[in-house]
Amino acid sequence: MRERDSGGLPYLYLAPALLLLAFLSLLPNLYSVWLAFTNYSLNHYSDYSFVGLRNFARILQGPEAATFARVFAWTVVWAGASVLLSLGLGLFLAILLNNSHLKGRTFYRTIFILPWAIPAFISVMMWQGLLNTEFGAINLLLANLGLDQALAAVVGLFTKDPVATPIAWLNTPGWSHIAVLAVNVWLAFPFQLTTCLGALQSVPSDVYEAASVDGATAGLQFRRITVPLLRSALLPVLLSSFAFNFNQFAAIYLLTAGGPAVPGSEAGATDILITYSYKLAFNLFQYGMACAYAIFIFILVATLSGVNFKLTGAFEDAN
Amino acid sequence: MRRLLLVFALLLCASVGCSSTTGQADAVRLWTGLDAEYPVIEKVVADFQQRTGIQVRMLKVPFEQLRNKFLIAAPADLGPDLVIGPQDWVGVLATAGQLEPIPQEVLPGEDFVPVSVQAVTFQGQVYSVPLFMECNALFRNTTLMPERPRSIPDLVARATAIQQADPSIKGFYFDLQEPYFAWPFFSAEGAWLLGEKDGRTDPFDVGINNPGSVRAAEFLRSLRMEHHLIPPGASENISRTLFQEGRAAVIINGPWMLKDAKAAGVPYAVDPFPPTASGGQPRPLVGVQGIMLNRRAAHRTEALKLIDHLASVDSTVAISQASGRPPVRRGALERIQNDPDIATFAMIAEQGTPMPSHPAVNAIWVPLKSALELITTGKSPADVELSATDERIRQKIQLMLE
Repeated sequence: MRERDSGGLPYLYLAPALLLLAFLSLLPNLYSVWLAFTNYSLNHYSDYSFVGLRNFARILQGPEAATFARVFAWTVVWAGASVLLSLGLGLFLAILLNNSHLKGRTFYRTIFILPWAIPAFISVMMWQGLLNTEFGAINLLLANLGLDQALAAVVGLFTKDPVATPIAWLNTPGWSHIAVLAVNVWLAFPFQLTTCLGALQSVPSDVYEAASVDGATAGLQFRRITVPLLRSALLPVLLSSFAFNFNQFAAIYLLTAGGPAVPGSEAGATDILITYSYKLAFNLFQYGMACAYAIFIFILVATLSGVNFKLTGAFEDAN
Repeated sequence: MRRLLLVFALLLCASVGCSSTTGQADAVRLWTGLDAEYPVIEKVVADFQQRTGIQVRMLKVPFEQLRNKFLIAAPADLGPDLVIGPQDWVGVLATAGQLEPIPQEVLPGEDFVPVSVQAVTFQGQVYSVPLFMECNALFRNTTLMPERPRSIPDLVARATAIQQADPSIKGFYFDLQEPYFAWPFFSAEGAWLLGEKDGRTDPFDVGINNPGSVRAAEFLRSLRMEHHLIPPGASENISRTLFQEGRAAVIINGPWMLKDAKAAGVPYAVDPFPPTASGGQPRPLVGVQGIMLNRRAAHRTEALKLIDHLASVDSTVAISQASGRPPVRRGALERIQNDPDIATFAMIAEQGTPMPSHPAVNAIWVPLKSALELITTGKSPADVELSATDERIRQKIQLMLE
């Protein structure tokens, strides 16, 4: 009886979700793939036509192909470092918060989730103010603690030129890389913290008890129990955060707009591929070319993620 | 049960299909991104509805989304009849083929100040009926600097003296890396954004690489590197805050700041730009907001009546008083003379540089901003950087126009 009834009904139940998926995700993406092969732009707004691979050729052979390589390298560093640093901080805090002896855990958890609860646009603008060279709270704090000279002196040992104080966080290459990364880690760690906490809580406490009885140190427990058990839960999250940070437009664009400027190049020092292509194509109403960039970025992210999957065996346990 | 579900699903589809047509109610539709002026425009429109019996449906769209929203909605026949926006949308929307040139009946007449009509003219045709204009001026704290400077060097000398006497005060502060605020000095030395040929914008005639523009860029660098007036990281936001807290003697800003300046209680004056060292007159960029007509307007006749009403002397005086931005018609300008700030802005705007309406101007801002950053921080000599930037801008314009 159950067999007969199920006929087409499951499909009907699925239909709304599938329809939504098709209209909101599949069709727009297919449409943008098509646009990447056209000259769709402001000048060809209603009469655009198929131009083959021209948009892709322009990206690869353009006058700024060398810039593309520099921006690509920084994008990989940016996405990789963002993920690793935010995971490191998130995991560290999660392990502390997972300790049942800690008083006021709920309070700390709430505090640490806050950066996540504030819309990124607002907090990035806030950081822009905090990091301002002359009036920003960060430099005022450093100066009041007398740390700015010390920091500049230490960093100055590793650079050719002496470091000027107050530090121009958002206006000098190097410092601006550190600043955008720090802000992005601040934005991203609550997510990693929550994921780690969830995964940690699924690890049964008797495993640790047994390990303690056997005389394992905390470090050994972390390496032999926590890390292996968290791995399968965290790897997929890491890969998707990498892809997300690869295209983290808001953090870069709102904080430095890709700057500071680099002589002889359209891309600034902190420009990532998505902000760079925005300047090159979308800002100039070159929609076809913007789509080609998007596909290019998609291929790059997909390749990097694929390599990651293979190397880490991310979904082995699931299979 | 299954049949019931199917019927329900069909009904749902049908209602989704229909809702797109119910949007075409029998009313003139107007979209605007204006904020401070919105309540006044609402009142003016209500007055129009009462007088003519024509229904108007207004929609307030966040300013930075409005242009693209219109660009997507209009070809699908979902756009409004009228849209209010600045002159730099004119070239973009007209190139995309979504605007109708302003028809004879409501074409701006002789009583509109020339700069305003120039700004909304694209390829020889007027695409917008100007409502008001805006440009930069010098805001001077009259306690810190009681006398109006006679020239730009005079201003710099006084600003430096003020700053030396009290390092917590900024003598002369603005975002000199932002082309919009730097442009007065470029225009004074004879630089131009896009030139003209036979009464039309020539998108390949970019005028930022010449002895004049090099002089202007070097002057800006001297403000930072020699006179130490403007450190890196200066922004429009900071300039406003400093001025309102009485910690800046002179800043460059626009009429949108008038309300906050008054509220802050700092004694101030709005000054026109004095001449530069070479005797050139700085002419800031003039933006003009106006009403544009959708090429596929469903209620064209009624829409034209609404344009006429919105752009009338009475309406534009009311709009100006709400925002501090000067109106563009002589009759309206006469009536705002009692407000010295708006009157000063009107005077500066009339002698300003009309902001180009051509879309090619979008290829200039980002590279020019980078160039100004590199030059004013001493990373690159002005002539080298401007020449390279000029080259890059031309390539971009070439790409845009093919």
